[in-house]
Amino acid sequence: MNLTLRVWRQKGPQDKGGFVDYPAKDVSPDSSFLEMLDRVNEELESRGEEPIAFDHDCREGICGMCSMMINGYPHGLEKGTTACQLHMRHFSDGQTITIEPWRVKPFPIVRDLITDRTAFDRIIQAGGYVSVNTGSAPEANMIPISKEIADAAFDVAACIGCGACAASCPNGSAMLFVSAKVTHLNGLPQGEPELLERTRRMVEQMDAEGFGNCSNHRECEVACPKEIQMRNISKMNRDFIRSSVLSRVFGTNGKS
Amino acid sequence: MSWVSTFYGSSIGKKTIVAVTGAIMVLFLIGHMLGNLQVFAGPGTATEPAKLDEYAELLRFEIGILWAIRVALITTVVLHIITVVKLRAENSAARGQNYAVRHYQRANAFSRSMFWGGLALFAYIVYHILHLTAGVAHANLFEHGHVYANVIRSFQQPLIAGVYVVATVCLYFHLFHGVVSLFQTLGVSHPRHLQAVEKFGHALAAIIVIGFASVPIGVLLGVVK
Amino acid sequence: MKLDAKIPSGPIAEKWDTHRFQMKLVNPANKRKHTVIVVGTGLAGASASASMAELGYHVLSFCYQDSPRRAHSIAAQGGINAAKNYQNDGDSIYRLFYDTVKGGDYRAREANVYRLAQVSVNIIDQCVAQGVPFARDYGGLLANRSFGGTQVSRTFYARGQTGQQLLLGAYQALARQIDAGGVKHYSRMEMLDLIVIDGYARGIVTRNMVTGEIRSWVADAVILATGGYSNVYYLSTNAMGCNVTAAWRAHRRGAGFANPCFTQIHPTCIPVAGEEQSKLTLMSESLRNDGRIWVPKKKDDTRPASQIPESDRDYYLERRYPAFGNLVPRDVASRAAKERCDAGYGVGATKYGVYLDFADAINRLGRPAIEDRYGNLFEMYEKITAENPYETPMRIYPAPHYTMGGLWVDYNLMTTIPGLHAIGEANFSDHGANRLGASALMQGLADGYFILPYTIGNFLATTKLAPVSEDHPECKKIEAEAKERIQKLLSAKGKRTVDDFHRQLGRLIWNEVGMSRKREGLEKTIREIPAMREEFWANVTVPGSGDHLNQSLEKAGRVADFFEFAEVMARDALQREESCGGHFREEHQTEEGEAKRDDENMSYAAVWEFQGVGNEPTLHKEPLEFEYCKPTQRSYK
Repeated sequence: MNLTLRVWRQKGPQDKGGFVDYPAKDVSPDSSFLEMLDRVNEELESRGEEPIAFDHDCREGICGMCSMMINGYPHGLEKGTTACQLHMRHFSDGQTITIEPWRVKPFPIVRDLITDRTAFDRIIQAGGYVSVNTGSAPEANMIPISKEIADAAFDVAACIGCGACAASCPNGSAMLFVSAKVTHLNGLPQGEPELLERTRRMVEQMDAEGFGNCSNHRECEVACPKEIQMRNISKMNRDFIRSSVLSRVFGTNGKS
Repeated sequence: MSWVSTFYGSSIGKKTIVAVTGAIMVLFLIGHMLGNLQVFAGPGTATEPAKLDEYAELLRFEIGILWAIRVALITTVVLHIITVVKLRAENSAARGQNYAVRHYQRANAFSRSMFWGGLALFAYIVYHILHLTAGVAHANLFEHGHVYANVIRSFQQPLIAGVYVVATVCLYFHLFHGVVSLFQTLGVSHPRHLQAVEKFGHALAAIIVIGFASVPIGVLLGVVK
Repeated sequence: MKLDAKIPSGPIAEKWDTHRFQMKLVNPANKRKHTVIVVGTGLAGASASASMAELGYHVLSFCYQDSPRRAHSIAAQGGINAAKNYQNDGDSIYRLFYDTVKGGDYRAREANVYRLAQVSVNIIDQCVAQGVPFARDYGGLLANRSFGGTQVSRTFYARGQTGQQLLLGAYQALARQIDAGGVKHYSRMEMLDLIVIDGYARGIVTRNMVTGEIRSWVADAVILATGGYSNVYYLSTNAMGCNVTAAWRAHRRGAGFANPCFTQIHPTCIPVAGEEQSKLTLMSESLRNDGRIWVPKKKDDTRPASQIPESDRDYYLERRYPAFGNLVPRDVASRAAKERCDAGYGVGATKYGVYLDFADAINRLGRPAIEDRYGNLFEMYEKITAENPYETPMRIYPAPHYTMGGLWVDYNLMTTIPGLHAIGEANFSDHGANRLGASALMQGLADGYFILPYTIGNFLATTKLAPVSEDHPECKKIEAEAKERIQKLLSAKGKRTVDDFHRQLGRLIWNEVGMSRKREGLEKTIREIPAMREEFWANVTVPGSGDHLNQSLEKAGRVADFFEFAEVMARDALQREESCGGHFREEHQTEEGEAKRDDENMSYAAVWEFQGVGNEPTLHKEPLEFEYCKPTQRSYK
């Protein structure tokens, strides 16, 4: 099939940027979206033009590096799919596809479709871990954890940190990302001792990065390629209130 | 007390304030609506005043308490609005440049109308107080202490009744999303209950809105005279 | 080049303990005065950086991705082995050791493998403490499965995303140390060269991939945790950015490269669909636990799978290897698939695919049980192929996946350049000629959490290093060389794209140094590569400049190194006159077409010393002795 791509090109963070149209000819329906972009790029390169810069690495939907708005949907319209796993059979011949980078202030554009998502790293650095030094771990089966709790922890731990949640949010909020890590660790006995500190610090860092606030549009939930649910935001809110009000007022760990 | 300012400074803190003040206003609205419905008890007789007037008298029995409640309510509303304005500013700063093409899948008229709908409601509240509390909006239709008569006289004017009905529609949108969000923000939401919470939101909003709208519509249709 | 493996003396079970006691310790107050560079943030790199920072060393960490969390360890699906014997099925450290040496077809170093099996149990403890959500049984204890041809259940897993969960655990440990100030991390930084001063590895030269800045970093030791080189085949299951540059540059500076021809071709990948394909996707090997592999008995059978009756199906693994059936090791399963397809029995449009059928398992266990075990893999398959594996059998074909070869290291994980260490897939030590399933994660984390943090201390405590700075003339010289190389790539202004060259190289290597190799093919490859390399430098097109983000330039630098590396890979395959593990030489097979090892003459690690581009490298040999696992011909019949 033949397509027209309207692609956001921007040389650097200071450049104004704008859309440029490119034809994509003879696209195989079996190729992935990024492979289609590869072909367009190879054509540009063989003409000596600079290719469209986009982030990508594993191309199997797990590293979280690929990140682009495809026709107004983060990672494209397919549910639970990253851009690299999106296949061209979902598009139709003659279609025009608009491709834009994530647009959230805390993810400044580096070039073309590439943004700087180190804000997410800094949020994890603010407490998205269990403080256990190598070697100091107890025997693994010492604390039994019910299958239900372990499965629930896995569901949120599946977050790939791609940023689609923040990119999709009308408020530029990163609450889904932050809450996924907070509820993953807070929900496990290993993470419980640091619950208050972790929640407070990670939320503070999220705010300091300049992300917006959740007003329950629920866009993140549909955009998330790992289908992480908004209930985690609710849980995080509860833990945050525990951490910053209840524990302060009652001087306890916030538990009643 | 530094935790207060830290808490208020945080995103979740501010959202909590919006949720709590919102909840207070919902409770107030329920009471207000139940009071309003007294209008359907009729104009009363020569010896017995209208139920609505009796109810209004009851509210004024101790001027100190009345003003304490009024101040609390005004504070709630102001806190709600100031916080929302702050959140709104933060959100647009976070958003940055808009997408050229963007299709929302879940964000809807309810969630997207919260800010402007809320402002419209605020404007309406100001008008409403000027109209039926202070009596300055339509001074010719207003007489102090005669609530029932004031209500009937005003709502017999289609324009005034229309404004009130439109306001209740705005209220419906605001209340539905507000009630559902309230559960989410205060951390008591769960996907298993989401549908139930949404139904509850719709039902509560509908009851309140029908309760309020029934008065101007009732007067306009001549059900209450 | 002197190869001293520094294997501690004494019985194998005591070697590591003895060695740990004999190693010198760095005074705790002095640790922060030592700077260590770690390149790569996969399982090995992230765990090493975090653990060394916890000990007090000052760590500089680098990765080419936009975040350390994206390293390709994240894509490992199946699981991680550990000799916990939770299932009470007869597992032990010794059995894991034995299975790994045997699985590696007796081409790994016994002492290293034993140590790996020993620390495997600590890894699970560590990861669970970090909050890694491993699968659990209803009783709340950790679940295990049997994986990749072992007869005990020793594999721990987190659905089909074990690598992701382990990597995020290590990433979080790294994040904690970044927060604490022990690690300075730099993303979007590519290592272009190694700085060797007075015979010691003292630093690296990097290119900032955003600004193009070339600069040096100096330290007391350099750790390469830079993964494998499967992308030399162009199509592989590796991430697009995986490359051999760091290891190759170290090799050029004097680090011996061991067994480059030992590559693993994974049997269960989604077959190639077309020309534009950029990478291959692995379907976890765990699928073979319940899936049955077959091809039609008739050549060029075009009927859909559902219409081929049982009597017309050839379950060739069950037929050839009745004892292990569909669970034979990876190399055996891969070659068997290739044999069937080469003979014309393949399925799918390209005829290079075999069926992996779950119909029996679904009938036996019910669909919900299969969904629970493989749901996410089935979904992934359907996304890519638009076929529903619950209804039609999956089509699979082998694909390059892991490379057992790598930088030669001694027992302390140090390469032949003092101070330069290699960990994880980047080194060669533990998997011999073939890696067992669920062992890569184990090795990466063993090296990073539990081995290197000890041995690095011994190196630092016993070595007197002169202070150096980034202004050292050697740093400036190597920076200049890196800049010159970039300039050369940019100024070729030829006609062909980097990918075009990479595809050409990949095709050649896949055909001649892939699943089966033979003398003429290898000789032809060694002849052809220099010409291809020359054409690359003369006719490649790299648009743009070096002082901004330039993905064509990044790729060009990596492919240029693959062109040099591929040659030694072919040479290594040529000198290894036997078939072992992933290395199958057509000249060395039994009458039934099984691999024939030559323990008498080939029981060594082949270590190559660089002699200049285009010059024949020198071969050194580290003899391998098998005191505990006596080599037997592997038989899975």
